[in-house]
Amino acid sequence: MLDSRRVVYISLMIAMGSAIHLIEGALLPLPIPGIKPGLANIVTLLALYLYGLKEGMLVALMRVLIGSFIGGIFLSPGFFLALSGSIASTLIMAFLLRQTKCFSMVGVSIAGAVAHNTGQLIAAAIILENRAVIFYLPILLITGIPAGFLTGYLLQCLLKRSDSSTILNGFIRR
Amino acid sequence: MTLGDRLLIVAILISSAIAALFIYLKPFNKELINEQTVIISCKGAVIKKVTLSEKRHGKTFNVMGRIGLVTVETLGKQIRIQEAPCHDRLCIRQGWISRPGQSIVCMPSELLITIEGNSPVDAVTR
Repeated sequence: MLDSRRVVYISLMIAMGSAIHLIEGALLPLPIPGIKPGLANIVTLLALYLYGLKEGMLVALMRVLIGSFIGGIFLSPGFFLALSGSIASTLIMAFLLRQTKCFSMVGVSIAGAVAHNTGQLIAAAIILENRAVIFYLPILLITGIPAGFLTGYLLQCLLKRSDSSTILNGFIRR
Repeated sequence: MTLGDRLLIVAILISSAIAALFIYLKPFNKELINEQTVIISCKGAVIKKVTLSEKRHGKTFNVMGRIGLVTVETLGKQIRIQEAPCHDRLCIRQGWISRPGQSIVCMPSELLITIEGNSPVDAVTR
């Protein structure tokens, strides 16, 4: 059923995700190439939490698409890296959110971040036709933990405060 | 943070440590970095790809050029044309090449041997 309220909220999430994605890419200096906190993942996780796999995937894919249009990397290697990472992390997070009970938002987010990095690395290996990128795997696995922790923790704070905020109430109380 | 979260973090740390051990310490990775791919092409079409690494022993093989068989020899990370049917034999005189970006050309055979990868320097004058 095409619930217009739902459509508006998903669109809002896509817009927020794209904005966070771009601001993060433009403003935050990267200590190590290819590593960033992935704050835009908050929005994907929120969509997964509130709606489900289909909507979460939609938000993630549209964010990557719009982000690449604005950033000018559409169909470049970086675009495919972001795409594969997003798909992998969304699938993993959806599975952990829906099928298991033992993880909080932080755990789901960490798993998503690690899956994102792994997915990116596999895509990089395929695009570059080079197995040597596997050298990055341990680094990316470890850096996924603080990145996932940060986004998961922020989302948890967001959900806690949703009772007192009217805008967020619209999100949370469907 | 639930117990599951903590277990997950520990599991990721352990698996990355294991991955690091395997990836950074295993000897095969030395070879992985040091490998170079050589592309042999005739009339612009790739006819053979050879992998060069320090561990590999020397060997010779023939490729078909435009005017006959050309014998190529590899030794470690080096490659050269050993025998060619051309008159001037310039390709043989170019000798061994071993660095990425270097190439050997045999014009009569329309043969090009290139070591893949970017040269660490822009150009070399001899």
